[in-house]
Amino acid sequence: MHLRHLSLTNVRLYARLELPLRAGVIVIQGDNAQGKTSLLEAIHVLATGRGLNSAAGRALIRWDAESESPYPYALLRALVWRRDGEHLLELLLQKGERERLRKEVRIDHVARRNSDLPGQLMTVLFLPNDVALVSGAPSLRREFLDEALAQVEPEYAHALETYAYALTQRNALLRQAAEDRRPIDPDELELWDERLVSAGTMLTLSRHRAILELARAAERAHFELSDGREYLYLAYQPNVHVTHPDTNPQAPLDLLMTPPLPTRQALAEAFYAALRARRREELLRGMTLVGPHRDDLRFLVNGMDLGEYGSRGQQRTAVLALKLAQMEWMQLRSNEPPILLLDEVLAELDPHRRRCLLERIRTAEQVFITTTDLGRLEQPLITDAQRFVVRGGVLQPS
Amino acid sequence: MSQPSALPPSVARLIEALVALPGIGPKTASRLAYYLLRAPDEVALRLADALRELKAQTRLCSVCFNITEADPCPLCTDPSRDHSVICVVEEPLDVAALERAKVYRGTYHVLHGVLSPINGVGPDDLKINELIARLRRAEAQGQPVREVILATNPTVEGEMTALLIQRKLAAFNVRITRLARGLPVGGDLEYADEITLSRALEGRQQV
Repeated sequence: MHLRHLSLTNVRLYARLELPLRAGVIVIQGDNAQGKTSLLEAIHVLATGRGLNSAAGRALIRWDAESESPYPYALLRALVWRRDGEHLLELLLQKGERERLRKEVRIDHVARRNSDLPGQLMTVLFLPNDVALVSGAPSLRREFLDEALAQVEPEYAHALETYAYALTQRNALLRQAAEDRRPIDPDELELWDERLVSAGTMLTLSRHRAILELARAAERAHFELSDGREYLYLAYQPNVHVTHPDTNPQAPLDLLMTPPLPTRQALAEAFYAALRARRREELLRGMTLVGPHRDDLRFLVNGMDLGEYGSRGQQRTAVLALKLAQMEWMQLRSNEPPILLLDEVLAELDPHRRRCLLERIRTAEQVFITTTDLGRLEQPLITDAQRFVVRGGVLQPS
Repeated sequence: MSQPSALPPSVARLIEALVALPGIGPKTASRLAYYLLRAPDEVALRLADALRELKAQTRLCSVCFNITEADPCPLCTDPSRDHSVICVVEEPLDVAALERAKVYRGTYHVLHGVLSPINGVGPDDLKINELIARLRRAEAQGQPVREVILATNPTVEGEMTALLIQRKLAAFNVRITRLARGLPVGGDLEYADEITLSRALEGRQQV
């Protein structure tokens, strides 16, 4: 797939942008803080719907728009070419009374739910600080999985929304009980349990399957990137897991292995059992302690946890391998090549890894590359590229 | 909303009171206030009387908890209605909507809200216990309720509320039904979302 047109109104630095695009390489050159990353971010938001439920959505609205209108808005529109034809995606974010954010999604001029947006456009985003995926908090890894999965499984985006909602409601209920504000109605708590389990089971299984598939591709990519020296293993650590009947159910999960893929029913039963086991603690602490919102993913190289013991270089290689795997996996799942968004990542790679990445880029249908300096890019890469210069939120062909 | 100090306090007070209403912003409030100021006395006084009576004359029906001037309300005392069927709705406005359709001849039960822990609304804040008591009373009087129709909105909160009531009524020998969900009349199949379509398929009927 590729973008044929991108239009931004009041998005970050862009007051107004109309950008006709073609398949192939698109190079955006500019100094720092001129709008390079904002452009890639806008495309990524349209693909993933990321951050629409948080302050991130508000932050997308151009700062100056605040002074021009009491209800400032940002409008993102993209014309996408896919196997099934041309589609228009529109996302409107508008601030309302009391800092409320109104979100409107339209696909081909028809209003749709927010969770219908992810996957209409598919992107893989490469950022300079991606290394935090390996070394940072587990929430970053969950976010990565959620963004990748929401783009290839439409039901995943819906389940994610259902789960987040059930979690918020259930936490509110538990908090009220913990603070003795009202006695808990067991029937009511059970209803939220059911919702949590049905959506949570779906999330856990989808993540599990995705990691098994990603792990193979990531291992191959990492092997190549490390010149055949290292084997990368992605270990999924679901918070809810089915313990093998022979082992001690109290035994902690093996941190170095993805557990075997459970059946939906076995997983749902394990989820209920875990909720029962921790009910007292949940009521005391006033929060949900069980579920995929506590999942993690680990990066192991030759059996060593990279998050804790890996060198910066190893972490960087592992993240690059993961992103390359994501690219391959998305194409495999959806039969459609994702759009690559490379934010100044080429500059920081050594020649070997850079070559590996460039080789993969060549097979992509559309690639956005940002750089501060055109001289840092290989000549063949920029010869046929659509080239733009960005300054202060204004983009011009160069 | 801060008003310019040039306004007389009585006008400012009216604007403030109007702004507190749903759907009315500061501009509309000012326009309404100035309209009332310039309009003949009886226009403003009629509004004031209507507002006063609204609070003085209305109460909740002790049977169905709809808003009424007489207790029990006309719907609950109407002998031509089927008292063995109760339609459970979220708000009094839902009763008005169903009555406009002129197809339902049973009685109502107004919950006055939906389950939502985030907003601090629990089962005890809704008229669920009152519904149970009503069913029990009917049973004791030898005129048991045959059917309870759950007509809460097809939102997450509405669904959860319907599910909870379903659980709470499990002990009663009563048929529990839920309003059908599907395609709106005059709607377009092409523009329906997947959930609505799958519900419409599930609930398809023989013709």
